[in-house]
Amino acid sequence: MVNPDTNDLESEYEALLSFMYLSPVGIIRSDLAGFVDMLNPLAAQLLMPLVKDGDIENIFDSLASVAPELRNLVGSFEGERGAVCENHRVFVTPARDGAVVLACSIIKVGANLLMTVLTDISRQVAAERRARQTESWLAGIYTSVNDFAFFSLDAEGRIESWNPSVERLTGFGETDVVGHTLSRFYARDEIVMHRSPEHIALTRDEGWHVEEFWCDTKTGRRYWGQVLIAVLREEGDDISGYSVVLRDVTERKVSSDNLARLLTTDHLTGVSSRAHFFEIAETEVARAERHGRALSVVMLDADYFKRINDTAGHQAGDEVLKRIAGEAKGLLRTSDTVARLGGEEFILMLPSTTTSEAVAVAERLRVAVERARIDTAVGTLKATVSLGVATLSTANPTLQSLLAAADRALYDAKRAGRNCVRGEMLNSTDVSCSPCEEGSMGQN
Amino acid sequence: MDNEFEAVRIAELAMLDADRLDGVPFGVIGFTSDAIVTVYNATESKNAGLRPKMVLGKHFFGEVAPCMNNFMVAQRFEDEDVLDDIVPYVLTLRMRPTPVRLRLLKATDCATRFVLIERRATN
Repeated sequence: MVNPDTNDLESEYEALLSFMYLSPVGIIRSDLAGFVDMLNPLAAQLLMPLVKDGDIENIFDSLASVAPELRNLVGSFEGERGAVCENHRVFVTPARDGAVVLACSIIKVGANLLMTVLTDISRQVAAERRARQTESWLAGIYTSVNDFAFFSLDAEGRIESWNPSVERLTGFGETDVVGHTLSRFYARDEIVMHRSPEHIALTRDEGWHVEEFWCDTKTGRRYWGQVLIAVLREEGDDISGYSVVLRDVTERKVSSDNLARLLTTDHLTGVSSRAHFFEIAETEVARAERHGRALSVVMLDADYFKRINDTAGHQAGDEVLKRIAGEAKGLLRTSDTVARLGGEEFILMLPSTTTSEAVAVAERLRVAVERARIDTAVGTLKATVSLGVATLSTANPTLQSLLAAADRALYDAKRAGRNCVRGEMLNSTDVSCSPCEEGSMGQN
Repeated sequence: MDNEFEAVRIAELAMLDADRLDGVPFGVIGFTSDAIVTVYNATESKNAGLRPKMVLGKHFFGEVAPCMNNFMVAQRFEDEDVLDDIVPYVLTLRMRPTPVRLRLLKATDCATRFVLIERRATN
Protein backbone atom coordinates (compact mmCIF):
# COMPACT_ATOMS: atom_id res chain seq x y z
CA MET A 1 0.00 0.00 0.00
CA VAL A 2 2.08 2.89 -1.24
CA ASN A 3 0.72 6.22 -0.19
CA PRO A 4 1.51 8.63 -3.01
CA ASP A 5 1.32 11.49 -0.55
CA THR A 6 4.00 10.10 1.76
CA ASN A 7 6.82 12.01 0.12
CA ASP A 8 4.83 15.23 0.20
CA LEU A 9 3.99 14.69 3.84
CA GLU A 10 7.61 14.02 4.65
CA SER A 11 8.75 17.15 2.87
CA GLU A 12 5.99 19.15 4.52
CA TYR A 13 7.03 17.75 7.86
CA GLU A 14 10.65 18.53 7.29
CA ALA A 15 9.75 22.03 6.17
CA LEU A 16 7.66 22.55 9.32
CA LEU A 17 10.46 21.28 11.50
CA SER A 18 12.91 23.55 9.83
CA PHE A 19 10.50 26.45 10.24
CA MET A 20 10.32 25.86 13.99
CA TYR A 21 14.04 25.21 14.27
CA LEU A 22 14.96 28.49 12.76
CA SER A 23 12.42 30.59 14.62
CA PRO A 24 14.16 33.60 16.14
CA VAL A 25 11.88 33.60 19.15
CA GLY A 26 11.73 30.96 21.81
CA ILE A 27 8.38 29.18 22.08
CA ILE A 28 7.38 26.82 24.88
CA ARG A 29 4.23 24.82 25.39
CA SER A 30 3.46 23.75 28.92
CA ASP A 31 0.64 22.97 31.27
CA LEU A 32 -0.57 25.44 33.87
CA ALA A 33 1.92 24.10 36.38
CA GLY A 34 4.72 24.84 33.96
CA PHE A 35 5.66 21.34 32.88
CA VAL A 36 7.10 21.55 29.38
CA ASP A 37 5.97 19.25 26.64
CA MET A 38 7.21 21.14 23.59
CA LEU A 39 9.83 23.81 23.06
CA ASN A 40 11.89 25.05 20.14
CA PRO A 41 15.69 25.36 19.99
CA LEU A 42 15.82 29.05 20.74
CA ALA A 43 13.82 28.52 23.91
CA ALA A 44 16.39 25.95 25.00
CA GLN A 45 19.18 28.27 24.00
CA LEU A 46 17.79 31.00 26.25
CA LEU A 47 16.80 28.78 29.17
CA MET A 48 19.75 26.43 29.42
CA PRO A 49 22.14 28.98 30.94
CA LEU A 50 19.61 29.57 33.71
CA VAL A 51 19.32 26.04 34.95
CA LYS A 52 22.04 24.45 37.00
CA ASP A 53 21.46 20.83 36.31
CA GLY A 54 20.64 21.03 32.63
CA ASP A 55 17.02 20.28 33.19
CA ILE A 56 14.22 22.40 31.80
CA GLU A 57 11.39 20.13 32.65
CA ASN A 58 9.43 22.93 34.24
CA ILE A 59 9.54 26.45 32.94
CA PHE A 60 8.72 28.12 36.24
CA ASP A 61 11.45 26.20 37.98
CA SER A 62 13.87 27.09 35.21
CA LEU A 63 13.13 30.79 35.57
CA ALA A 64 12.77 30.71 39.35
CA SER A 65 16.15 32.27 39.94
CA VAL A 66 15.46 35.31 37.81
CA ALA A 67 11.65 35.57 37.56
CA PRO A 68 10.05 33.86 40.54
CA GLU A 69 6.92 35.92 40.05
CA LEU A 70 5.82 34.07 36.89
CA ARG A 71 4.28 31.17 38.71
CA ASN A 72 2.12 33.56 40.72
CA LEU A 73 1.15 35.55 37.67
CA VAL A 74 -0.22 32.43 36.05
CA GLY A 75 -1.76 31.23 39.27
CA SER A 76 -3.69 34.42 39.81
CA PHE A 77 -4.89 34.71 36.23
CA GLU A 78 -8.60 34.13 36.40
CA GLY A 79 -9.68 34.10 32.76
CA GLU A 80 -10.27 31.01 30.71
CA ARG A 81 -7.83 32.22 28.12
CA GLY A 82 -5.81 35.34 27.42
CA ALA A 83 -2.49 37.05 27.94
CA VAL A 84 -1.13 36.46 31.43
CA CYS A 85 1.78 38.79 30.80
CA GLU A 86 3.26 40.53 27.77
CA ASN A 87 6.92 41.34 27.28
CA HIS A 88 7.55 40.93 30.97
CA ARG A 89 11.21 41.77 31.47
CA VAL A 90 13.46 39.11 32.94
CA PHE A 91 16.91 40.28 33.97
CA VAL A 92 19.13 37.26 33.59
CA THR A 93 22.26 39.09 34.65
CA PRO A 94 22.29 42.13 36.96
CA ALA A 95 21.28 45.39 35.39
CA ARG A 96 24.34 47.07 33.90
CA ASP A 97 25.79 47.56 30.45
CA GLY A 98 25.97 44.31 28.56
CA ALA A 99 23.33 42.68 30.73
CA VAL A 100 21.25 39.87 29.31
CA VAL A 101 17.54 40.69 29.37
CA LEU A 102 14.69 38.52 28.15
CA ALA A 103 11.14 39.48 27.31
CA CYS A 104 8.60 36.89 28.40
CA SER A 105 5.01 36.70 27.20
CA ILE A 106 2.69 34.01 28.57
CA ILE A 107 -0.64 33.23 26.99
CA LYS A 108 -3.17 30.91 28.49
CA VAL A 109 -4.56 29.06 25.53
CA GLY A 110 -6.86 26.58 27.23
CA ALA A 111 -7.85 25.12 30.57
CA ASN A 112 -4.45 23.59 31.13
CA LEU A 113 -2.32 24.98 28.34
CA LEU A 114 0.18 27.78 28.35
CA MET A 115 2.18 29.16 25.45
CA THR A 116 5.24 31.11 26.46
CA VAL A 117 7.32 33.27 24.15
CA LEU A 118 10.84 34.23 25.11
CA THR A 119 12.99 36.75 23.23
CA ASP A 120 16.39 38.20 23.94
CA ILE A 121 16.03 41.98 24.18
CA SER A 122 19.45 42.72 25.65
CA ARG A 123 20.50 45.01 22.81
CA GLN A 124 17.28 46.97 22.95
CA VAL A 125 17.58 47.42 26.70
CA ALA A 126 21.16 48.59 26.31
CA ALA A 127 20.03 51.16 23.76
CA GLU A 128 17.30 52.35 26.12
CA ARG A 129 19.84 52.68 28.88
CA ARG A 130 22.12 54.73 26.66
CA ALA A 131 19.24 56.98 25.66
CA ARG A 132 18.32 57.50 29.32
CA GLN A 133 21.92 58.34 30.12
CA THR A 134 22.03 60.89 27.34
CA GLU A 135 18.77 62.39 28.54
CA SER A 136 19.98 62.77 32.09
CA TRP A 137 23.27 64.19 30.87
CA LEU A 138 21.35 66.75 28.87
CA ALA A 139 19.05 67.45 31.79
CA GLY A 140 22.11 67.97 33.95
CA ILE A 141 23.36 70.55 31.53
CA TYR A 142 20.20 72.49 31.09
CA THR A 143 19.39 72.59 34.76
CA SER A 144 22.77 73.99 35.66
CA VAL A 145 23.61 76.11 32.69
CA ASN A 146 23.20 79.81 33.24
CA ASP A 147 24.16 81.74 30.21
CA PHE A 148 22.93 79.72 27.30
CA ALA A 149 19.78 78.03 26.15
CA PHE A 150 19.47 75.11 23.80
CA PHE A 151 16.41 73.85 22.03
CA SER A 152 15.36 72.46 18.69
CA LEU A 153 13.42 73.59 15.66
CA ASP A 154 11.30 71.43 13.40
CA ALA A 155 12.03 71.11 9.70
CA GLU A 156 10.12 74.34 9.01
CA GLY A 157 12.13 76.33 11.51
CA ARG A 158 9.53 76.50 14.25
CA ILE A 159 10.56 75.93 17.85
CA GLU A 160 9.48 72.44 18.77
CA SER A 161 11.06 71.78 22.13
CA TRP A 162 11.61 73.75 25.31
CA ASN A 163 13.48 73.16 28.54
CA PRO A 164 14.31 75.25 31.60
CA SER A 165 17.49 76.64 30.04
CA VAL A 166 15.32 78.63 27.63
CA GLU A 167 13.37 80.22 30.44
CA ARG A 168 16.46 80.93 32.44
CA LEU A 169 18.04 82.86 29.59
CA THR A 170 15.08 84.48 27.87
CA GLY A 171 12.31 84.45 30.44
CA PHE A 172 9.98 82.63 28.06
CA GLY A 173 8.06 79.55 29.14
CA GLU A 174 7.09 76.60 27.02
CA THR A 175 3.81 77.98 25.73
CA ASP A 176 5.50 81.27 24.86
CA VAL A 177 7.91 79.78 22.38
CA VAL A 178 6.78 76.43 21.01
CA GLY A 179 5.48 76.89 17.48
CA HIS A 180 7.15 80.29 17.03
CA THR A 181 10.21 81.05 14.94
CA LEU A 182 13.49 82.42 16.26
CA SER A 183 12.17 85.95 15.83
CA ARG A 184 10.38 85.37 19.12
CA PHE A 185 13.64 86.28 20.81
CA TYR A 186 14.61 89.36 18.78
CA ALA A 187 14.46 92.86 20.29
CA ARG A 188 11.40 94.74 19.09
CA ASP A 189 13.29 97.35 17.14
CA GLU A 190 16.12 95.14 16.02
CA ILE A 191 17.07 94.96 12.37
CA VAL A 192 18.28 91.43 12.08
CA MET A 193 20.42 90.59 9.10
CA HIS A 194 18.78 87.27 8.42
CA ARG A 195 15.35 86.70 9.82
CA SER A 196 13.66 83.34 9.96
CA PRO A 197 13.25 81.67 7.49
CA GLU A 198 16.48 83.00 6.00
CA HIS A 199 18.32 81.63 9.05
CA ILE A 200 17.06 78.23 8.02
CA ALA A 201 17.97 78.49 4.37
CA LEU A 202 21.51 79.56 5.25
CA THR A 203 21.80 76.75 7.76
CA ARG A 204 20.66 74.21 5.22
CA ASP A 205 23.25 75.32 2.73
CA GLU A 206 26.21 75.34 5.06
CA GLY A 207 25.10 72.80 7.65
CA TRP A 208 25.30 75.49 10.33
CA HIS A 209 24.94 79.22 10.77
CA VAL A 210 25.94 81.75 13.45
CA GLU A 211 24.53 85.22 13.90
CA GLU A 212 24.34 87.90 16.57
CA PHE A 213 21.68 90.49 17.27
CA TRP A 214 19.89 92.43 20.00
CA CYS A 215 17.36 90.35 21.91
CA ASP A 216 14.71 91.11 24.48
CA THR A 217 13.78 88.84 27.38
CA LYS A 218 10.14 88.38 28.22
CA THR A 219 10.37 91.29 30.65
CA GLY A 220 11.99 93.49 28.04
CA ARG A 221 15.56 93.35 29.25
CA ARG A 222 17.88 93.79 26.33
CA TYR A 223 20.83 91.51 25.71
CA TRP A 224 23.19 90.79 22.83
CA GLY A 225 22.47 87.27 21.70
CA GLN A 226 24.48 84.88 19.62
CA VAL A 227 22.63 82.07 17.93
CA LEU A 228 24.18 78.92 16.49
CA ILE A 229 21.89 76.79 14.36
CA ALA A 230 22.90 73.36 13.10
CA VAL A 231 21.14 70.86 10.91
CA LEU A 232 19.77 67.68 12.44
CA ARG A 233 19.61 64.85 9.98
CA GLU A 234 17.54 61.74 9.91
CA GLU A 235 19.11 58.63 8.57
CA GLY A 236 19.00 58.98 4.84
CA ASP A 237 20.06 62.63 4.82
CA ASP A 238 16.61 64.12 5.26
CA ILE A 239 16.62 67.16 7.47
CA SER A 240 14.51 66.38 10.51
CA GLY A 241 15.01 69.74 12.16
CA TYR A 242 17.62 72.03 13.64
CA SER A 243 19.40 72.37 16.93
CA VAL A 244 19.86 75.85 18.34
CA VAL A 245 22.19 77.22 20.98
CA LEU A 246 21.40 80.77 22.07
CA ARG A 247 23.94 82.60 24.19
CA ASP A 248 23.95 85.89 26.00
CA VAL A 249 27.19 87.52 24.84
CA THR A 250 26.44 91.06 25.99
CA GLU A 251 29.64 91.22 27.95
CA ARG A 252 31.66 90.43 24.90
CA LYS A 253 29.82 93.03 22.84
CA VAL A 254 30.31 95.69 25.47
CA SER A 255 34.01 95.03 25.62
CA SER A 256 34.24 95.01 21.86
CA ASP A 257 32.43 98.33 21.79
CA ASN A 258 34.91 99.53 24.35
CA LEU A 259 37.68 98.22 22.19
CA ALA A 260 36.32 100.12 19.24
CA ARG A 261 36.31 103.24 21.33
CA LEU A 262 39.85 102.55 22.45
CA LEU A 263 41.02 102.24 18.91
CA THR A 264 39.48 105.46 17.70
CA THR A 265 39.93 107.91 20.56
CA ASP A 266 42.84 109.72 21.97
CA HIS A 267 43.68 108.14 25.28
CA LEU A 268 44.43 111.31 27.21
CA THR A 269 41.73 113.67 26.11
CA GLY A 270 38.98 111.33 24.93
CA VAL A 271 38.57 113.13 21.63
CA SER A 272 39.06 111.29 18.35
CA SER A 273 42.54 110.06 17.57
CA ARG A 274 44.53 111.35 14.64
CA ALA A 275 44.08 108.08 12.77
CA HIS A 276 40.37 108.08 13.28
CA PHE A 277 40.13 111.70 12.20
CA PHE A 278 41.69 110.95 8.85
CA GLU A 279 39.39 108.00 8.41
CA ILE A 280 36.29 110.10 8.75
CA ALA A 281 37.64 113.30 7.20
CA GLU A 282 37.75 111.87 3.71
CA THR A 283 34.16 110.76 4.07
CA GLU A 284 33.08 114.19 5.21
CA VAL A 285 34.82 115.91 2.32
CA ALA A 286 33.21 113.58 -0.18
CA ARG A 287 29.81 114.04 1.41
CA ALA A 288 30.13 117.83 1.36
CA GLU A 289 31.02 117.77 -2.31
CA ARG A 290 28.26 115.37 -3.17
CA HIS A 291 25.57 117.44 -1.46
CA GLY A 292 27.07 120.80 -2.28
CA ARG A 293 27.31 121.77 1.36
CA ALA A 294 29.93 123.82 3.18
CA LEU A 295 32.61 122.12 5.24
CA SER A 296 34.95 124.01 7.54
CA VAL A 297 37.80 123.06 9.83
CA VAL A 298 39.35 124.85 12.77
CA MET A 299 42.92 123.93 13.56
CA LEU A 300 44.07 124.98 17.04
CA ASP A 301 47.15 124.79 19.08
CA ALA A 302 47.89 125.47 22.80
CA ASP A 303 50.06 128.62 23.13
CA TYR A 304 53.52 128.32 24.71
CA PHE A 305 52.81 124.72 25.53
CA LYS A 306 56.47 123.77 25.80
CA ARG A 307 56.92 126.43 28.42
CA ILE A 308 53.98 125.08 30.44
CA ASN A 309 55.47 121.61 30.39
CA ASP A 310 58.90 122.88 31.38
CA THR A 311 57.72 125.05 34.23
CA ALA A 312 54.68 123.26 35.57
CA GLY A 313 55.56 119.73 34.57
CA HIS A 314 54.13 117.27 32.05
CA GLN A 315 51.22 116.22 34.24
CA ALA A 316 50.07 119.80 34.43
CA GLY A 317 50.52 120.07 30.68
CA ASP A 318 48.25 117.04 30.27
CA GLU A 319 45.58 118.72 32.37
CA VAL A 320 45.73 121.76 30.12
CA LEU A 321 45.27 119.64 27.05
CA LYS A 322 42.37 117.82 28.63
CA ARG A 323 40.69 121.09 29.46
CA ILE A 324 41.12 122.47 25.96
CA ALA A 325 39.63 119.27 24.55
CA GLY A 326 36.78 119.46 27.03
CA GLU A 327 35.93 123.04 26.09
CA ALA A 328 36.00 122.09 22.43
CA LYS A 329 33.70 119.11 22.95
CA GLY A 330 31.30 121.30 24.85
CA LEU A 331 30.83 123.56 21.84
CA LEU A 332 30.18 120.88 19.28
CA ARG A 333 27.01 119.67 17.62
CA THR A 334 26.49 115.91 17.09
CA SER A 335 27.67 116.09 13.50
CA ASP A 336 30.92 117.83 14.45
CA THR A 337 34.17 116.06 15.30
CA VAL A 338 37.09 117.14 17.46
CA ALA A 339 40.35 115.25 17.13
CA ARG A 340 43.82 115.51 18.58
CA LEU A 341 46.26 115.71 15.70
CA GLY A 342 49.29 115.39 17.92
CA GLY A 343 51.11 116.98 20.84
CA GLU A 344 49.20 120.14 21.61
CA GLU A 345 47.41 120.42 18.29
CA PHE A 346 43.69 119.80 17.78
CA ILE A 347 41.28 120.11 14.90
CA LEU A 348 37.54 120.68 14.69
CA MET A 349 35.68 119.28 11.70
CA LEU A 350 32.44 121.22 11.14
CA PRO A 351 30.15 119.92 8.39
CA SER A 352 27.50 122.22 6.94
CA THR A 353 29.35 125.22 8.37
CA THR A 354 30.38 128.34 6.45
CA THR A 355 33.55 130.29 7.10
CA SER A 356 31.87 132.94 9.21
CA GLU A 357 30.00 130.34 11.24
CA ALA A 358 33.27 128.49 11.81
CA VAL A 359 34.99 131.67 12.84
CA ALA A 360 32.25 132.29 15.39
CA VAL A 361 32.74 128.82 16.83
CA ALA A 362 36.51 129.32 16.90
CA GLU A 363 36.11 132.59 18.73
CA ARG A 364 33.79 131.02 21.33
CA LEU A 365 36.39 128.37 21.93
CA ARG A 366 39.19 130.88 22.23
CA VAL A 367 37.26 132.78 24.89
CA ALA A 368 36.33 129.63 26.79
CA VAL A 369 39.94 128.52 26.99
CA GLU A 370 41.13 131.98 27.93
CA ARG A 371 38.65 132.11 30.79
CA ALA A 372 39.33 128.60 31.99
CA ARG A 373 41.05 128.09 35.31
CA ILE A 374 42.75 124.73 35.19
CA ASP A 375 43.36 122.91 38.46
CA THR A 376 46.62 120.99 38.57
CA ALA A 377 48.84 119.52 41.22
CA VAL A 378 51.07 122.57 40.99
CA GLY A 379 48.31 125.13 41.22
CA THR A 380 45.71 126.78 39.03
CA LEU A 381 46.88 127.42 35.49
CA LYS A 382 45.64 129.61 32.68
CA ALA A 383 46.13 128.90 28.98
CA THR A 384 45.27 130.23 25.57
CA VAL A 385 44.96 128.79 22.08
CA SER A 386 45.62 130.06 18.58
CA LEU A 387 43.09 129.02 15.94
CA GLY A 388 43.12 128.84 12.12
CA VAL A 389 39.96 128.47 10.07
CA ALA A 390 39.62 127.12 6.54
CA THR A 391 36.65 126.15 4.37
CA LEU A 392 36.29 123.70 1.51
CA SER A 393 36.19 125.75 -1.69
CA THR A 394 37.51 125.92 -5.22
CA ALA A 395 40.74 127.15 -3.67
CA ASN A 396 40.75 124.23 -1.22
CA PRO A 397 38.98 121.44 -3.02
CA THR A 398 40.57 118.49 -1.28
CA LEU A 399 41.12 117.43 2.30
CA GLN A 400 44.84 117.93 1.90
CA SER A 401 44.50 121.48 0.61
CA LEU A 402 41.87 122.25 3.24
CA LEU A 403 44.18 121.16 6.04
CA ALA A 404 47.08 123.07 4.50
CA ALA A 405 44.95 126.22 4.43
CA ALA A 406 43.95 125.75 8.05
CA ASP A 407 47.57 125.24 8.95
CA ARG A 408 48.54 128.48 7.23
CA ALA A 409 45.74 130.28 9.06
CA LEU A 410 46.95 128.87 12.38
CA TYR A 411 50.45 130.11 11.56
CA ASP A 412 48.99 133.55 10.88
CA ALA A 413 47.30 133.48 14.29
CA LYS A 414 50.58 132.63 15.99
CA ARG A 415 52.39 135.38 14.14
CA ALA A 416 49.65 137.83 15.01
CA GLY A 417 50.48 137.34 18.68
CA ARG A 418 48.62 134.16 19.62
CA ASN A 419 45.27 133.80 21.46
CA CYS A 420 43.36 134.78 18.35
CA VAL A 421 41.50 133.44 15.34
CA ARG A 422 42.74 133.76 11.76
CA GLY A 423 41.35 132.48 8.47
CA GLU A 424 42.31 132.94 4.83
CA MET A 425 40.34 135.45 2.92
CA LEU A 426 39.54 137.19 6.15
CA ASN A 427 40.72 140.64 7.12
CA SER A 428 42.16 140.83 10.56
CA THR A 429 39.60 143.53 11.26
CA ASP A 430 36.79 141.03 10.75
CA VAL A 431 37.96 139.04 13.67
CA SER A 432 38.06 140.31 17.20
CA CYS A 433 41.35 139.76 18.83
CA SER A 434 42.16 139.99 22.48
CA PRO A 435 45.46 141.26 23.70
CA CYS A 436 47.82 138.35 23.75
CA GLU A 437 49.38 137.10 26.92
CA GLU A 438 52.12 134.71 27.39
CA GLY A 439 50.99 131.50 29.00
CA SER A 440 51.29 132.30 32.66
CA MET A 441 51.29 130.44 35.85
CA GLY A 442 49.17 132.92 37.66
CA GLN A 443 48.01 131.99 41.11
CA ASN A 444 44.42 133.01 41.53
CA MET B 1 28.64 2.23 26.31
CA ASP B 2 28.99 4.93 28.91
CA ASN B 3 32.65 4.22 29.08
CA GLU B 4 33.16 4.74 25.40
CA PHE B 5 31.17 7.97 25.51
CA GLU B 6 33.35 9.25 28.30
CA ALA B 7 36.63 7.68 27.31
CA VAL B 8 37.05 8.00 23.56
CA ARG B 9 39.74 10.45 22.57
CA ILE B 10 39.37 13.06 19.89
CA ALA B 11 42.34 11.71 17.98
CA GLU B 12 40.67 8.33 17.74
CA LEU B 13 37.40 9.79 16.56
CA ALA B 14 39.13 11.77 13.89
CA MET B 15 40.60 8.61 12.41
CA LEU B 16 37.41 6.55 12.25
CA ASP B 17 35.89 6.05 8.84
CA ALA B 18 32.21 6.51 8.09
CA ASP B 19 31.21 2.91 8.71
CA ARG B 20 32.98 2.72 12.04
CA LEU B 21 31.39 6.01 13.06
CA ASP B 22 27.97 4.73 12.16
CA GLY B 23 28.54 1.80 14.48
CA VAL B 24 29.22 4.03 17.48
CA PRO B 25 26.27 3.77 19.91
CA PHE B 26 26.02 7.50 20.66
CA GLY B 27 25.54 10.50 18.41
CA VAL B 28 28.67 11.94 16.81
CA ILE B 29 28.67 15.32 15.09
CA GLY B 30 31.92 16.76 13.76
CA PHE B 31 32.42 20.26 12.40
CA THR B 32 35.21 22.54 11.18
CA SER B 33 36.51 25.68 12.85
CA ASP B 34 33.89 27.52 10.78
CA ALA B 35 31.22 25.28 12.35
CA ILE B 36 30.41 23.53 9.07
CA VAL B 37 29.22 19.98 9.72
CA THR B 38 31.51 17.36 8.24
CA VAL B 39 30.64 14.31 10.36
CA TYR B 40 27.13 13.07 11.19
CA ASN B 41 26.77 9.47 12.20
CA ALA B 42 23.82 7.11 11.76
CA THR B 43 23.03 6.97 15.47
CA GLU B 44 22.46 10.69 15.64
CA SER B 45 20.56 10.70 12.39
CA LYS B 46 18.16 8.09 13.73
CA ASN B 47 17.75 9.77 17.09
CA ALA B 48 17.20 13.21 15.65
CA GLY B 49 15.13 12.17 12.68
CA LEU B 50 17.32 14.12 10.28
CA ARG B 51 18.80 12.74 7.10
CA PRO B 52 22.56 13.29 6.84
CA LYS B 53 22.26 15.28 3.65
CA MET B 54 20.08 17.78 5.50
CA VAL B 55 22.88 18.34 7.96
CA LEU B 56 26.24 17.91 6.25
CA GLY B 57 27.66 21.17 4.95
CA LYS B 58 25.38 23.30 7.11
CA HIS B 59 26.41 25.64 9.88
CA PHE B 60 26.09 23.60 13.06
CA PHE B 61 25.08 26.27 15.55
CA GLY B 62 23.17 28.42 13.09
CA GLU B 63 21.15 25.84 11.23
CA VAL B 64 21.40 22.41 12.77
CA ALA B 65 21.51 22.94 16.54
CA PRO B 66 20.50 26.48 17.37
CA CYS B 67 19.66 25.32 20.87
CA MET B 68 23.39 24.96 21.48
CA ASN B 69 24.19 28.45 20.24
CA ASN B 70 24.97 29.95 23.64
CA PHE B 71 27.83 30.35 26.03
CA MET B 72 27.38 26.84 27.35
CA VAL B 73 28.33 25.18 24.06
CA ALA B 74 29.09 27.41 21.05
CA GLN B 75 30.95 30.05 23.05
CA ARG B 76 33.16 27.45 24.67
CA PHE B 77 34.36 26.19 21.29
CA GLU B 78 35.28 29.82 20.52
CA ASP B 79 36.94 30.65 23.80
CA GLU B 80 38.84 27.53 24.73
CA ASP B 81 41.79 26.09 22.82
CA VAL B 82 41.40 22.64 24.27
CA LEU B 83 38.03 21.21 25.24
CA ASP B 84 37.06 17.93 26.78
CA ASP B 85 34.01 18.33 28.95
CA ILE B 86 30.70 16.67 29.64
CA VAL B 87 27.65 18.87 30.20
CA PRO B 88 24.05 17.93 30.87
CA TYR B 89 21.76 19.47 28.27
CA VAL B 90 18.27 19.53 26.84
CA LEU B 91 17.82 19.16 23.10
CA THR B 92 14.66 20.09 21.24
CA LEU B 93 14.50 17.51 18.51
CA ARG B 94 11.00 17.44 17.09
CA MET B 95 10.30 20.19 19.63
CA ARG B 96 10.33 17.71 22.51
CA PRO B 97 12.55 18.43 25.47
CA THR B 98 15.16 15.72 25.29
CA PRO B 99 17.57 15.45 28.22
CA VAL B 100 21.01 14.38 27.06
CA ARG B 101 24.64 14.51 28.00
CA LEU B 102 26.92 16.37 25.65
CA ARG B 103 30.62 15.77 25.38
CA LEU B 104 32.50 18.69 23.90
CA LEU B 105 35.81 17.87 22.21
CA LYS B 106 38.39 20.19 20.74
CA ALA B 107 42.16 19.80 20.34
CA THR B 108 44.89 22.00 18.89
CA ASP B 109 46.22 19.28 16.63
CA CYS B 110 42.83 18.23 15.31
CA ALA B 111 41.01 20.06 12.51
CA THR B 112 37.63 18.65 13.44
CA ARG B 113 35.72 19.51 16.59
CA PHE B 114 33.19 17.10 18.00
CA VAL B 115 29.98 17.11 19.95
CA LEU B 116 28.98 13.68 21.24
CA ILE B 117 25.38 13.19 22.25
CA GLU B 118 24.20 10.52 24.66
CA ARG B 119 20.55 10.32 25.37
CA ARG B 120 19.87 9.90 29.05
CA ALA B 121 16.76 7.83 28.90
CA THR B 122 14.88 6.32 26.02
CA ASN B 123 11.48 7.87 25.37
